[in-house]
Amino acid sequence: MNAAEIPGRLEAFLKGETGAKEVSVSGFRSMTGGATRRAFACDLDLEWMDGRQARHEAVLLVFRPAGQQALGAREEFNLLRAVHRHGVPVPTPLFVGDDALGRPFYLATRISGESIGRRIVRDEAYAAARTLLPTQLARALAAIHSVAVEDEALAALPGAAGKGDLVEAALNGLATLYRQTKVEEHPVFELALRWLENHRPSTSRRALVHGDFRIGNVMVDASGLQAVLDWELAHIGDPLEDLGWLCGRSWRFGRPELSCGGVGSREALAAAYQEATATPVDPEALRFWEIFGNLRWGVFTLVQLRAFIEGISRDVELAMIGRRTAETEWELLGLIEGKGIA
Amino acid sequence: MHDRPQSTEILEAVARLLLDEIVPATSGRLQFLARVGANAVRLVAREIRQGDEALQQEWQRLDALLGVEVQPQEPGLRAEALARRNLGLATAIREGAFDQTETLVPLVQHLRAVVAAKLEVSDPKLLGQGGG
Repeated sequence: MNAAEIPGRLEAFLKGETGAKEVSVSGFRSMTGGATRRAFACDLDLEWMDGRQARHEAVLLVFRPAGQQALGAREEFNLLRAVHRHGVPVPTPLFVGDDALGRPFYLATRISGESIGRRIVRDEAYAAARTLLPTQLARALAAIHSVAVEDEALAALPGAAGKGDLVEAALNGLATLYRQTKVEEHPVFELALRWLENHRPSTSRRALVHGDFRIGNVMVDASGLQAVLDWELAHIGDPLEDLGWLCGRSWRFGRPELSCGGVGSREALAAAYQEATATPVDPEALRFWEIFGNLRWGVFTLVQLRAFIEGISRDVELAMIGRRTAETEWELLGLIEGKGIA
Repeated sequence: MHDRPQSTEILEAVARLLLDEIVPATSGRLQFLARVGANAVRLVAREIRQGDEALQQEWQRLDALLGVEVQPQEPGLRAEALARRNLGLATAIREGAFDQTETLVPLVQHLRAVVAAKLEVSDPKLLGQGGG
């Protein structure tokens, strides 16, 4: 659909959804276009017969035809509602629709702030926020991981049907993706896979995992964390997977010595998470999931390399991501040697 | 023999065009891609300057790790042979040949040297920073 037709169609949809007499969609503008959805900003004003009024500063997400692993609009909307109920800071989900705009979509509140990682990690304006972030991120993760896996909003997520060993499933999934995707051999990735197989954590638990929890996917303002965004990779897995991913080398934005997203140490993150969950974090298990996370990102760079080589996109940015695989290999070797681990 | 400028000098001129002319004249996504493009041509210039020294060293390190093999002289055959040796190394790792400390330590040293040679081209700043 032409974007210019969206506000009018949205007004008709909202009248039907809410029974409001007057609905106006204003300030409509395009925000970003991703691989799986387009985002628009808009302001919704509603007025009912009895004089009640409501105003929402909203973001509209219009989904592209379903990708391989991406959640559908309704699944993501339901997931947001569930985590919102559990106190996770997220955009408040407002309305969901299947075909009023020709494609599935949902509306959520628009959160103001900064999500560009480089600015959050480096700008003076976020210096105070950075001191708060490790604890705030740990608490948000604890809230995500507290959602009952039986919650029906989670039934559509990858891994929800699995009953077997979580760690085994995660390792097999990653090894398979690597072997299907690789264009050349990466002996470092083989070593990391082997290391992971030989160092499985002795305990694991099934939980809702965000799957892409990192600086760059959270909204931050001067007072710190405002919202957790980008839920497309949510799945059922081990909660420490999210902590390990957050500590990945590729999102420290020029502060490599600050292992927790360029804003703190992995030890501070683990301590705050431990306090928030009242459950000890085994440092060796966290190391396992940090190696897993770096390897997962390394394999994702190969996925993007393949898209470039196969001509799906000839974008120079995509081409250069292929040369970032070595950065992940370097980090993996350091972690396997035990550097940086207290 | 080609005339001057050398290929690396031409690439640096392209990088300067992107950074000094295109970046100030653009904004948003296009400006970002112009910066990425400048980084890309500088990466290629570093790769040209590195030459095939890194390949030679990788071959010799594999000799030390897996046993000596004669290196083909023709560049295409050499790259093919190196890919075959790395496939052998990957298979050996997967099968557990490097699980013990006495084999793991030389393997990690080898891989560090190979990855460092890649980073000299792709991200020279990262090298002083260690890992982990």
